[in-house]
Amino acid sequence: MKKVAIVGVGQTKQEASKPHQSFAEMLYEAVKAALNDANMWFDDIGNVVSASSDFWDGRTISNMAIQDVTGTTYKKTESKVASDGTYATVYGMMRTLSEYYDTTLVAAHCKGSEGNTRIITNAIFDPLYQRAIGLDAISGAALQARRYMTKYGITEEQMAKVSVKNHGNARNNPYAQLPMDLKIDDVLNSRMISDPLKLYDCSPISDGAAAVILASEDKAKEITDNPVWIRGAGYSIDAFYLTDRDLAECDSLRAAASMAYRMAGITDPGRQIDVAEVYDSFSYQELMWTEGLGFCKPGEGGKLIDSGRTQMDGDLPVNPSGGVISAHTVTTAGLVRVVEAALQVRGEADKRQVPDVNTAVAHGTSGYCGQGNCVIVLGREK
Amino acid sequence: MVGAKVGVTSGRAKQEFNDELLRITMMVDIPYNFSAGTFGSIFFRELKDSRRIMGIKCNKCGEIFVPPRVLCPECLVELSIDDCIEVSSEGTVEGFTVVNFPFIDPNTGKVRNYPYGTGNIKLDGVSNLLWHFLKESDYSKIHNGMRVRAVFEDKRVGLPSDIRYFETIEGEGEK
Ligand SMILES: [Zn+2]
Repeated sequence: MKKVAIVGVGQTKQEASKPHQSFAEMLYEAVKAALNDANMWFDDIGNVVSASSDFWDGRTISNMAIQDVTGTTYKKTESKVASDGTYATVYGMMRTLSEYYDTTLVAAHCKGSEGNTRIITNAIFDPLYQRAIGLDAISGAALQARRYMTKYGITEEQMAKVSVKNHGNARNNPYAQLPMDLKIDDVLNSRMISDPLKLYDCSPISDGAAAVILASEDKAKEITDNPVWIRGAGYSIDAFYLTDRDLAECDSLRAAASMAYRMAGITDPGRQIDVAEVYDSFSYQELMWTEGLGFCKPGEGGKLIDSGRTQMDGDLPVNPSGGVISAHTVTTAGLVRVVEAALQVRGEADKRQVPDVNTAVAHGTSGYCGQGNCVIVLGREK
Repeated sequence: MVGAKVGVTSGRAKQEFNDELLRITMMVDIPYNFSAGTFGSIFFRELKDSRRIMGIKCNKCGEIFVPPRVLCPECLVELSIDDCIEVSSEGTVEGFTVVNFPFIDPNTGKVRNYPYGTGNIKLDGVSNLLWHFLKESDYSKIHNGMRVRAVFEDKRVGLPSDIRYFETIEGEGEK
């Protein structure tokens, strides 16, 4: 099968609020950066796949409002994934593989500052049985964290280590919202939000946008000498009701990863992958996702962080960018992971660069407690 | 009794069961704070402070659009706040409808009095249209080509409703 490459990436700084830009203007900043990166302009783009959420945007069919800034004035096709930007990347890859389009612009945005996080994240849950009990992103995650601790003996200190590592890494990333110099005790002593999750175990909700330009194998070679190849991609989804799942397990991530690894020819992910960008909405989730991505066995995410392997100076750094815990643009954060992973493969991640990256993994989630997962393997070689 | 089954089998029983089906009512307000952005802030601030309608002139194609925006919708050239200009507050109706159903004003949450007239107005010198209220209450008189001018509220707050409506300019653009 022919391959698809990433030939341009762009992102805005992720911030608590961006009052100087509407969401479309904010998205334009990221799109323009990606176009400049690829040395292209709107008329070079074959079609557009966007990712956003009507609830966060506060409008019905909100992608209708981004058509100018994604260049569809030129009467291109655009279609929206109402989910994370990693899914939009896979959809864009498929459209490019169809050979109907040479190039696909993948664009995602979120202005978390404009809506109400509590109401919006409550609204995903079942209105008949669960919404009124108060389930939302944080209380749902707290249930998962508690279950994960109970089943596998994960400690609050191990969770805190993720927060310390990622907020520390964010100091090297000019696009991250919360670069912080934390110690484990700072995390453990931070304000209790929903037991066992404390303030520094939780991501903020951010404003930001990201864009990626995909090209077919032949086109990519015309556009750049430094293409980043999508070697594999996979996605999978678990049951809707949190109460139907064993929340300590991330079966759908295991399925998504195995799909992506099979396509990429990866048999030993813990050795063959050089760096990973994962969707850690909460500290404990990075531990779970490293299990689901096969970097360690189920239940051993705590041991993995203890080993130091996922630190910047370890052999498998996770979230050099600071991760989602340092900047969380909902529906966009996964595309930010793709941008960051692509920069790592290109060797252009500046102060957050991991040495000698051949293969990188970007991970996105959709739904709560990792219900849906998408895994993309990027590489210097096809 | 634990384990007891609720059986719905016969046609008659189904009908009775349907009569008892429940609905769950939710009354959730979702507040939003939309960023007007730099261009939108110029538009609403000028409306509020100076009774001026602001547009933007593309430095490539020369067309003028209302409200100001970051990209020319025609040629996708990036525009800046320096390209913002005041446009005419008079124009021509190029499309209209009289709304005859209750409508909840999202800025107030209250039902607006109806019927009311609205028009797509081509402000003089501007390339696109501005949709707004029409003052004319004799709806049979509203027609394409009618000339209108903006009437501003005395107390303006920085919302589209700072323009109360567009009133008919008598003697111009008659049917
Ligand atoms: Zn123009």
